[in-house]
Amino acid sequence: MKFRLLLVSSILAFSSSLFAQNMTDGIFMAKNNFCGGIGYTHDTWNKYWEGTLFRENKNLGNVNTQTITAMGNYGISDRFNVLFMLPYVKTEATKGTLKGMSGVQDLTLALKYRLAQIKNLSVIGSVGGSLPTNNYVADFLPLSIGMQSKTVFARGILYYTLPHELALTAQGAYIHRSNVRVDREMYFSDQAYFTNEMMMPDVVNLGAKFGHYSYRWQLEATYEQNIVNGDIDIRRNDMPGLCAKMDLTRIGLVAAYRIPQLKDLQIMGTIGQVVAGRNVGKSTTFSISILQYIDLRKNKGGGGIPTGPICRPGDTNHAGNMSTDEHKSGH
Amino acid sequence: MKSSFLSIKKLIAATAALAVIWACEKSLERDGTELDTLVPTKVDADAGTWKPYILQTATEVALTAPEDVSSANYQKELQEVKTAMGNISDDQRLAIRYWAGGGILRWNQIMRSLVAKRNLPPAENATGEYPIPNSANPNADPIFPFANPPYASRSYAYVSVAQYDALIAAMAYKQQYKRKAPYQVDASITPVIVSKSTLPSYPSEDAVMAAVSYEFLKRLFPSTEDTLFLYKKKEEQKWFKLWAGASTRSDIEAGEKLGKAIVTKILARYSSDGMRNAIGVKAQWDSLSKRVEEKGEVAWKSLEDAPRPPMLPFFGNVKPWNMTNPELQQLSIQYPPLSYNSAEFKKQVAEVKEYVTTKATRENIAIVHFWADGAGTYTPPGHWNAIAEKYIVAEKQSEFRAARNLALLNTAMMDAAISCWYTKTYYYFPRPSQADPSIKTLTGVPNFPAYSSGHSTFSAAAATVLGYLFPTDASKFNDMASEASMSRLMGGIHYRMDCEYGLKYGKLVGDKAVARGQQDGVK
Repeated sequence: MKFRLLLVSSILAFSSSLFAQNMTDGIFMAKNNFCGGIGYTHDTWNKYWEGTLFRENKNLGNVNTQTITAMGNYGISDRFNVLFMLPYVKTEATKGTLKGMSGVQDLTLALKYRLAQIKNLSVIGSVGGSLPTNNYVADFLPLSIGMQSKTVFARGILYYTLPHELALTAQGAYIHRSNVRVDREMYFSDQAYFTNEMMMPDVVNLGAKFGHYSYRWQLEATYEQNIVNGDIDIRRNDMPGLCAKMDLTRIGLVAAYRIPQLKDLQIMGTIGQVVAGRNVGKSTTFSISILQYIDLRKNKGGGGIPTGPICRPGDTNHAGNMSTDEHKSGH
Repeated sequence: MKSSFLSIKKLIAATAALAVIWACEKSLERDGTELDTLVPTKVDADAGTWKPYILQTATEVALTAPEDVSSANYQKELQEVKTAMGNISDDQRLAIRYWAGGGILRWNQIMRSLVAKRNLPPAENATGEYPIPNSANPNADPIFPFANPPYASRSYAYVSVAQYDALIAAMAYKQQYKRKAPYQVDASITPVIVSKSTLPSYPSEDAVMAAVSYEFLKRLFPSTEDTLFLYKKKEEQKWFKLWAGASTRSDIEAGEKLGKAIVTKILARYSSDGMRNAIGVKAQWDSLSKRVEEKGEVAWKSLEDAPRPPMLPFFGNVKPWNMTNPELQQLSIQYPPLSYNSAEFKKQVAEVKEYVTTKATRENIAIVHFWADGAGTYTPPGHWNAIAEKYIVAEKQSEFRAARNLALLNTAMMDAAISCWYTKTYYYFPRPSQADPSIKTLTGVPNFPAYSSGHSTFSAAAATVLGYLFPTDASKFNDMASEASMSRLMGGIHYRMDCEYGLKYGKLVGDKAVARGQQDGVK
């Protein structure tokens, strides 16, 4: 039954959090530009897949998870970015007696590098990992705030720009998760184990999105697939365990606008809906966030206008709308 | 040109890093079942004189004398042993290594695994009712059994008692017939993995254990999947010493025959100990509430939606091991809880609230979860078996002594379950979240009355017995019991009075088991 918690940061899902977006999309910050932001995510479900059985649980009611995430993205160069993300998570169940939990979760760090630019296609590689920032309780699903696993991941991203400021992104990541130590010395997953160590299966995360992307506006449809290795299901009427195969398919929308009157402060909203899953909640997610670019160059070009995000080499100084011509000028 | 070369290099580096990650096969440092080959410190050759639980005497069940080792039949058996040793397979070697760790501890691990596997409350059906698992149809949903704490305590107790009585009988016949082991008869035989025991080998104690454990466990865990698993384990333990060169066919067959015959004696008690009436029916459950309400108190209510019937409310009437039912009943109601309407009780409710709010520290939650032993686990009695295992291993106790000590421990904990459930049903006291619905808990609220705490009763009984068996760590066991007890208050599912009086009740129950242990002939 846990579910999206793992999507918030441990898995870096494509659309569950806006903030994860920069980690999974084709956009780079220009050299010496920083983009930072903060956002709020609300996720809720009242039905879940117990293994493959879709069921409700009147002793949980709605399981709500609220997250406030801080995120940053800095351009070491136009093609090499470093990113971080840190969520604070709060959970609750509206029925039953179990107490919700809250706390700072895992710090995610990533490096993103444009390996090649072939006409309008960016080929991007990213590596990174996440670390729990404290000893929060993991073994209390679905109300724990995270999985307490250390992760490392490698991700490939293909980003293809089309005429009329349309763009297509496809990405895939392999996420290796470390085993976790819990507070108890026995548990049953696929069998009984008499240890406090839990084996965490690795994860494959795939995603795609398509839509309009320009400096001012963004409106894209997203698709995401999460596949956890192994075949450990929640047993009939059992509590969920950390090692379960928490697979899901999610669709969503992203919309964003930079407000000229507020120095191009970006406001962004997402919605997401799990449409299929296994050992996860059928959750509905929405998020809203604000992001701001800061130009840290000593000699600011373009009259001090931030260079902001760039899609490909040559997209510098494009404050305002990126024209099709500019796209074509890439090399 | 240069930049694209760099990209390729980075791509290769990233790929290499990924390959390293993939190459790391996922595994656990240990799974907790690891046991070294048992070479007992003391062989306990006098175990045939120890006092059994159910058998009147060690030799109540007859066992015919074996053929002499000089007989043609025995010589044929020796040849069979040599052939088996020559053809030993990898699977057989694994099985020898597994069972050489000690049959009593292995069956205890198996039993704890099965309890954890089957300790799942039935799901509500479409009409808002909870179907009761049916032993006559064990594979249907809900699978039989729901191995909750009372069920688990009874399972651990009966299997431990059956193993103990059967091993006493086996030792009595070993000493009576004094048949040598294959390696004592034929010096050319050197056992594989297992140690050379100095004990006579007829009947095989492994075959005795295999028979009683399997015959009992298949009744406790009758689903097809569990029974097949148990059968496989039974066959392994039955034969591994033949493959290893330490027992012959007639040693083994005699052991199995003896074990099966002893099981029928123990089954007679098992099938008439009152367990069949432990669930009750709706009219009985309703009368429990009514009785308490008539006294002006507030009765326990299920906090689940839909409300679930109380877990085995009449388990308190099951036949105990170390006292009679009237003694147990008298013992179990001597400390009444506070009145629900009293000011002191309100203070106790407030204290629970404090533990799940301002006092819900990470350290306290770790204690709550360490001792929770809730659904899907081996239950508190299983936890105390796991604790006992470490001590039995450290002392390298013989199979006979391990069986006796686990029988003392597990009869004490079954008595603790009976006593505590008698107390719970008698006072039928609400849980903290019923008294104050704003109390949100750090572990699941058990679906039965609060007073007194089961964890506290189990733990104090277990700590009392273990303190008697391993006196140097007696105070450590008491500290563990106190922590287990307090964990229930910290978790928000018990009042302080439940915990404190639970420990008191548990100590009284544990003392009864110790009294038996002091006069069962074990030195």
